[in-house]
Amino acid sequence: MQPSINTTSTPRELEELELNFADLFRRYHPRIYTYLRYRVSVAEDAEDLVSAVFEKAFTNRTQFDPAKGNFSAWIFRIAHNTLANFYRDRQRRAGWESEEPSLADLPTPEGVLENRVIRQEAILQLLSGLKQLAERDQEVISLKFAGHLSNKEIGEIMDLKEKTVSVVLLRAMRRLQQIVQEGSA
Amino acid sequence: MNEQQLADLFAEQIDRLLLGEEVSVPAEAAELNELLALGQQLGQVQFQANAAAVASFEGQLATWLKGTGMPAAVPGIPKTLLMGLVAAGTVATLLAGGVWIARNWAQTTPPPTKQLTAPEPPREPEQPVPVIEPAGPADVSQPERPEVLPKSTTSSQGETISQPKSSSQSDQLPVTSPTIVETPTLTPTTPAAEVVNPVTGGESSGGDSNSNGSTSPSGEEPLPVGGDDDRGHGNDPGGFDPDNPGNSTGVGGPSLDRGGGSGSSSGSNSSNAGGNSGNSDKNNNKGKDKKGN
Repeated sequence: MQPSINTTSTPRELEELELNFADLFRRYHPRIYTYLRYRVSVAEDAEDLVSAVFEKAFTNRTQFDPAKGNFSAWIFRIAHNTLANFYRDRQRRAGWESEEPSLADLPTPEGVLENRVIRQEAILQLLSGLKQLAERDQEVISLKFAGHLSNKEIGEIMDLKEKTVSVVLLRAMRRLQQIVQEGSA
Repeated sequence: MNEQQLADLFAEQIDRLLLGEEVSVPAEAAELNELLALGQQLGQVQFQANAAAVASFEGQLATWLKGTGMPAAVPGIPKTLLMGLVAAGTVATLLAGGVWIARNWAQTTPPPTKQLTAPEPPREPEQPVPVIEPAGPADVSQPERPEVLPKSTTSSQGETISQPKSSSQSDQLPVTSPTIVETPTLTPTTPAAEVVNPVTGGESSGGDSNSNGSTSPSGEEPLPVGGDDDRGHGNDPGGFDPDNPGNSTGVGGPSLDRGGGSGSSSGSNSSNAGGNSGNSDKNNNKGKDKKGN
C-alpha cells in the first residue's frame, strides 16, 4: 500500500501514513544508495546524498500523490534532483571527475579470493566506463540497473517518453560496451 | 528490426533479467545478448552503506517519527506560507525585544551632567558664612548636603581660621567672620568653577573660598589645613575684598590675597578663584592654585 496524504487525513491516519513512510524509506534506502553510488565515486558523498534525499522526502511527504505516480518514481526523482544539485556544486569546484572510485562499500562476494578480485576489477571497469558516458546516458543506466526502475518510471523522473528511454538505454549500453571492450584491449 | 523495436525488446529483456527471470532473444537481435550480459553485470553491483550510515539513517527516522526532529508539514498549508509566518514572527519578536531593551536602557541611564565630566566636583557652593556660635552643635549633616559649607574662614585681619572637617572640631571655632557676604547658591549639578561672575568676567562667585587653606605662593603665612572663609578675591571689583580687605588690590592689580590660594602675583589674573577649595581652579588659574588640599 502506498501512502497518500491529503488535507482531510485525521491525525491517526497521518500517524499511520508516517509509519508507512518510514517503512518505505527503509525499503528504498539500499536502492537509493546504490543508485547514488553509481553516480558518485566516494562513498561518503553518497551517504550524505542519501541523507539529504530522505530528508527532502520526509519534508515534502505531503506532496506525494499516488495518482500522479508511484512512490518509487517519486523518491527517485528526489534523488535525481539532489544529485543534479550535487553535480552543479561539484562542477563549480571542478576536479571531482578525477577522483578514483573506491569499492570499499561493495559487498565482498563469496568464493575464491582470485575470483573476487577479478569481479571487483570488472565492476571498477564498468563504473569507470560509466563515468565516461554522457550525463543522460549515465542517469538512464543508473536508474535502470541500480534503481531497478521501469522505463516508464525513468521517463517520469527524467521527463522523457517511455519509448525514448528505451532507445536512450539501448544506445547507452552500446557505448558502455564499447568503452569496456576498449579498456580491456 | 529497427532501432525502436530493438530498444523495446532490450528493455523488456532487461526488466525480466532484473527480476531474475529467463531471457530469450530472437536470432535477428543477437547483438542484444552481449548487452544483456553487460546489464546483468551492472545489475549485480549493489553497494551497501556502512553500518554507521545505516544507524544514522535509522536514528533520523526515529527522530522524525517522534516529531522532535524537523517539523512535520501541515497538510493544507503551503510550506512557503508556513515558513513565511515563522520568519515574520521571528522578526517581529526580535524587533519588539530591541525596542524594549532600548527603552529600558534610555530610562535607566541618566543624562550626562557636567558634574560627571568635571574633573573635580564642586565642594564649596555659595552659602552664607554661618555665624558659628561656640556652643552650637555641630552640623554633622553638612558633608552630605549638596551645598557644602566653606571649611575655612579668614578673619578681617587676614587671620585664617580653620574649620576642621570633623564636626567635633568645627563647633569650637571661636571666631566668626564679622562680615558675611552672601553669595548666590549654586545648584549641586553646576560646577562652582563654571559659574562666572558677570561683573568680573571670570571671577568665581561661588566655590572660591580658599577652603582648605591654600597658601599664597610666597608662603608668607602658612595656612592651617582646614581652610578659611576667604573668598579668594584678590581681584574684587572696586578693589575691596570684604573677606580680605587689607590685601585686595582689585581687578587688574596685583593680587596679594593671602588666603586666596591663587596667590596671583600677576595683575592679569582676573580669575583668582580663590583656590576653589584648593583643588580646582578652572578659571585660568590652573596649576597655580594647587596648594590646597
